[in-house]
Amino acid sequence: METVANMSLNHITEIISWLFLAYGAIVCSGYIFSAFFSYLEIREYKRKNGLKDEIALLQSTNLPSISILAPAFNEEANIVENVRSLLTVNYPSCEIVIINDGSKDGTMEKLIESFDLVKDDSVYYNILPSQTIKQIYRSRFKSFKNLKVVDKKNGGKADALNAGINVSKHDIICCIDVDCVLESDALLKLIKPFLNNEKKVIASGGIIRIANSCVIEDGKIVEVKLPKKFMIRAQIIEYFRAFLMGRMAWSRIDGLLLISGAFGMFDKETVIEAGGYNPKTVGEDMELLVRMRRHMRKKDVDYTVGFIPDPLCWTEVPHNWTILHRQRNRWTRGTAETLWIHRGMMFNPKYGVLGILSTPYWLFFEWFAPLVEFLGILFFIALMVLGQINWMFVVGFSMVSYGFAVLYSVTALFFEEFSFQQYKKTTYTYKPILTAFLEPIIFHPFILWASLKGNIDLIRGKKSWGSMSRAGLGKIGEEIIAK
Amino acid sequence: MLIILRRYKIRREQKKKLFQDTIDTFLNNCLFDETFNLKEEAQSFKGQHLKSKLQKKIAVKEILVYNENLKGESSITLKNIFRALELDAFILNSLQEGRWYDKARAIYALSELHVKESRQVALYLNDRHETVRAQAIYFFIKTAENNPLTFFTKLKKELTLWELIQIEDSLKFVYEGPNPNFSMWLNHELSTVLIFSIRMIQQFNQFEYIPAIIPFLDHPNEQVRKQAVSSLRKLNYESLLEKVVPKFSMETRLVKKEIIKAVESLGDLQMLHDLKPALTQNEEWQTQLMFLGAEKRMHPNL
Repeated sequence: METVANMSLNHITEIISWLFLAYGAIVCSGYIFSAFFSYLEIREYKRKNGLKDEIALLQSTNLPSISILAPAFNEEANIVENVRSLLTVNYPSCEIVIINDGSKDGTMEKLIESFDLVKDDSVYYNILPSQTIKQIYRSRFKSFKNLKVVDKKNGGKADALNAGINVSKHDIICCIDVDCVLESDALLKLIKPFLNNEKKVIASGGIIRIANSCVIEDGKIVEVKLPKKFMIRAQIIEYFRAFLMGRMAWSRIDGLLLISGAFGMFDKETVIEAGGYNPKTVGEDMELLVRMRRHMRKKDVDYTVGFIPDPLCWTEVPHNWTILHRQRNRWTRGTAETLWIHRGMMFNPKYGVLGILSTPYWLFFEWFAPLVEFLGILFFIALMVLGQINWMFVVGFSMVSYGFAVLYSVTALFFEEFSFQQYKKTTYTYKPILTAFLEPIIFHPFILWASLKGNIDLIRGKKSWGSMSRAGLGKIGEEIIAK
Repeated sequence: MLIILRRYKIRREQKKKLFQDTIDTFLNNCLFDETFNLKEEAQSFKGQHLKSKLQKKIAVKEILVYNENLKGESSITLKNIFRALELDAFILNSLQEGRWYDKARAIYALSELHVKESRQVALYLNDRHETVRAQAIYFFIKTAENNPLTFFTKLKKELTLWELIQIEDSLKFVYEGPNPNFSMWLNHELSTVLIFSIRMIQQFNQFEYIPAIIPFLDHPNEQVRKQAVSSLRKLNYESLLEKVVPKFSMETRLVKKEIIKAVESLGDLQMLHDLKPALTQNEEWQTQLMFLGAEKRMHPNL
């Protein structure tokens, strides 16, 4: 009897082991394919754009006008600098709409005082539901005539963006984090897909870069520096992987499901038709794009989503573990909520690449990946307890997994070197390589834990964003590292 | 591999810089040393320094940089140097046999150096690569002495908005001849060319062609009608409102919005209110919002 039980236990553990192996193999193949497609996309982009600088077009009077929407919540410390930076954006015709989402600090007062704001009674229509708008302001300074400030009751980022859409004048909207630093030609590059496509373009996004430790003057990045802090360097590598390898590849096959909330451009009409941002999810950026794509499919209109491989926008990433934990927790919940809301797309051939590839990928390899990894660890512990471990296999498997993780990160670094090479100092080549070697051991387990916690919070019904305090760009330098 | 790539890039840049210095010295001698014998020196320079494709590419690039900064006689000399080094043959070879990005670069060089190879470049006006197409269009505008838009006759595919913006930009900042007659393209079969021409008549203040635009107020394509209303409004065409207001209720949303703008700029509050019955309850909100905005601007105390 005992032998039979042992045999069936052996069988079960073997089957489970093979399932884990198969999962790992599929993930790795997915990464290899994504690296291949990204390489093709970057190469083509470099060939297309290495010829002539199109910045002269910024003098053209015929470029469509853009409304830049930037929500702000409790940003008293940096709001004036941030708005000034946005006002320096290089584009012939744009309005900048700052939405004060019921800040509890002095954000609104600072704005009124610094930009000499007065009440503006221009008409708008609440086509998208949002919390009450208390007042709209405009600046008395002629040099800030394109600035509009919306003061509204607190309702969260999605709600603030909906209010901004209602108030905005132009047909193209650009949603941006108020503390982002834009490249001088960022808007021109991002609008190009809308104007240079035979299909209707509903949205376009670009590569987001990490501004921590960079030198910023007059709202522009003047020197790109590599942060000394390991956790920020690890995030830089993560961003390389996500943007240079992940999204580039998805863009190549028109399967993008996410345009970063930090900087994305949208066709306002489609956003409104799709119902605007969903204030009930914490992953509002992903949810909106998925809903817009679903809407276009329903309308049966030939459309696409643009992606620009240029680094267009620089943002501050979490500089301590607590904030990073909150961010990753929220990202996990956002992904899960979006996939759940749009579960009808999953494996549905009606949605083409989105139904067959994108949504299943996000389900199995983004949402479920930390869960599978955690189950793998539990399984390993169980095998140890049962004395069923083949140590040769464990060592081999661990080395292959670790090797692949490092190789994938180094490939992302290679793509950066091949394409944009933003980190120009030679020493900046060695440090990221070292980070790539340490990241799977130090950084990844933390991200795994944050994602697991995100799933637990999701089950518990947690809906909040969690406080996301920022140090402020240009202030995150060495003094914070020293602390 | 990463480190190898970084080192390779650094070494390539150093090599490039060295070669750039060599060609700079040569170009400066050619341009500013009167005792320099161009033909002989060019032959010798070519034999010594222009062996590889990369060297030729860098040479072309340097000549283009000089070309951007030189005018008059020096510019003509520079073009003679380009030919003496037989770089024109290299460029034409790239145009015929290169990959699409080589072709795009070749056309760009031909445009900047005014090498008139219109027949060959015309083949690329309908190329499937947008970059090649854009360069071919640029070539025709840049090298034209007059009638910079003759390439319109060879177009088979609608132009994108981006291409139209680039054409307009090139006409304003690159083309140096007399203003083209845009009305000659009002019979073109491509609607994007029509829209562009109507817009340009207004942009270049060609008031004499207002009568040629009027028939387009009844064009079946709403984009063309919209552009016609917009251009005529900006040209302050007095009779515009009597032609478009009666048709307001039958118009599409796009044209309706343009008509409201026209009434705001050329009409009075009463005329605007005359549009109100046509803005039915079911009217799309954007048109209604535009109407309210116009009303408020025309009568702020309303």
